[in-house]
Amino acid sequence: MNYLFLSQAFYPTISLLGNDEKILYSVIQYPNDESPNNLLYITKTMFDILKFEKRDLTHILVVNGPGSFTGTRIGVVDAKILSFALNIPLIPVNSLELISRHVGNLKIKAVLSAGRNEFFVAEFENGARSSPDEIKTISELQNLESDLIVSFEDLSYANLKNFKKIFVDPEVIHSLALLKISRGEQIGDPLSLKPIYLRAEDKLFKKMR
Amino acid sequence: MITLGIETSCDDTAVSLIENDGKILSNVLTSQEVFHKDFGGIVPEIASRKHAELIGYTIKEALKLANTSLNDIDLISVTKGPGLIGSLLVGVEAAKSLSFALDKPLIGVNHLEGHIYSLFLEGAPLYQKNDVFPLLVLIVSGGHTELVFMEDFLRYKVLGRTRDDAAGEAIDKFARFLGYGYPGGPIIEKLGLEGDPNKYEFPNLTFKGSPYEFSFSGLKTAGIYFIQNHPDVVENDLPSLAASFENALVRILVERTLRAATDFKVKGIGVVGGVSANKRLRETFVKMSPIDVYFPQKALSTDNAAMIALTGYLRYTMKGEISDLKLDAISRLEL
Ligand SMILES: [Zn+2]
Repeated sequence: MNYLFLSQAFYPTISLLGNDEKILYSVIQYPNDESPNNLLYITKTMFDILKFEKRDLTHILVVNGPGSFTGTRIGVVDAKILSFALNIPLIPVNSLELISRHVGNLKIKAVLSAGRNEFFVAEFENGARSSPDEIKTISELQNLESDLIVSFEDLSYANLKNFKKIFVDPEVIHSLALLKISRGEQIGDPLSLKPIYLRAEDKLFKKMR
Repeated sequence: MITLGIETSCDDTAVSLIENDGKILSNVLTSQEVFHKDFGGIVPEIASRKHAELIGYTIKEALKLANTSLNDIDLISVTKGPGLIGSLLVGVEAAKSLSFALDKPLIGVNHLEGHIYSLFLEGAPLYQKNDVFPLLVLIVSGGHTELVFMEDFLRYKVLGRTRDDAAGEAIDKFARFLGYGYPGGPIIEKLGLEGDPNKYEFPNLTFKGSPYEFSFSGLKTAGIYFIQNHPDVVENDLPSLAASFENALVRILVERTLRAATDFKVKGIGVVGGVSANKRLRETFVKMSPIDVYFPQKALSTDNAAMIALTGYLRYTMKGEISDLKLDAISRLEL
């Protein structure tokens, strides 16, 4: 079993290759002007370095949000076309769940920026989700009770109580990937995978106008 | 050699498979019109969401209709620009993913160049013809108005473009001001069928020293003023108003194009892009042009992926061009 894990839904971009036992290679990229976001290019580079054959891949996992609108869409399109072309299963990974996996059994609110001074938020306790993904405003987030607020992003600008920034840990991704593969969490039709947006199109359109 | 083309620059998700120099194996277009029409225009955020939902199924359908499997594909060609950035990105990412998964060459092409090759696809008037140069091509659509001198395959000089609105944009806005939906071109065309195209006068701006440049914002503004100032005409003589406005727009396009055709001594004229399906435009060109004028059939004049596949095929086979996985969408891209 060899899996490929992809994410461009938040900062940083992640491409990680692993098998049943260990991580084979991981790229955690903090894109900037010199190395812009390029999920497929870093993935190909990783395959080239390892001389890894695509036909040896057995699963693809992708973070399908919530997160950056464009980045999430790119990750989802890349992953579902790869899954379709290589004819292997596709497993979606929720970004906020991935954050929660980094902090063990603590009761936390996992948070990512949703732009426009809003945030994607979900609550986790004892490693399990205790609320759905929601969008909250900055003041709603500031007024939350004393839960620990955790994010991959530096949200210090938002003046949150009990905020903790964490870094992406490839080992956490690896164990989550193995768990999801063992549970058979792949979706029936990979081409049907959609990003998790949370914002409705019509609401968005009215705001744009 | 089989080329798979992907086109997502605007609001249609399109995938096509062609063989060699333009034989069409499949040409699939998943229209999003129904999702946008309530807004009176294309909503970029909706377009990119729909592309992301539809792209995989559109690829699958194109393969099925062509009775082809992914492994039979030799080249992947995709529109890299110009267009809506969020929409372009979906096509570019899908093409890159296919290229990576299948180990097949990838090429990003210019959407406007694609329109030119709609004339050279199977069923179109210049299919497998190569003695047609120099050729003058008018690209005219909701987003573009460009006059291109074509010396040979892949060799162009842009003679003029619009300084403001595209021709299709002007007619869309005129239709919207009359209270009609989107897209406006076909609506105005239908409204004007029984009207007198010479009854009302609209301006035809020319630029000193730039005889091949277009401007449609003056025409659009004149049209809107006319609607505001003549409610009686809107009420009682809509067919002639629609026909006259359309005629004014057609005259600008035809006059500039024929002047360039004479100045550059071309062998023929090609008219491509969504507006090239307009009946009055076609009739006026044929009536006024001393040389042959070529139009693609309707399905190939609007955005499609077969023209993108052919453009990629020509660039790859004639010039050896390819793109790598760093290929990015470019919203503003000139020919
Ligand atoms: Zn077009």
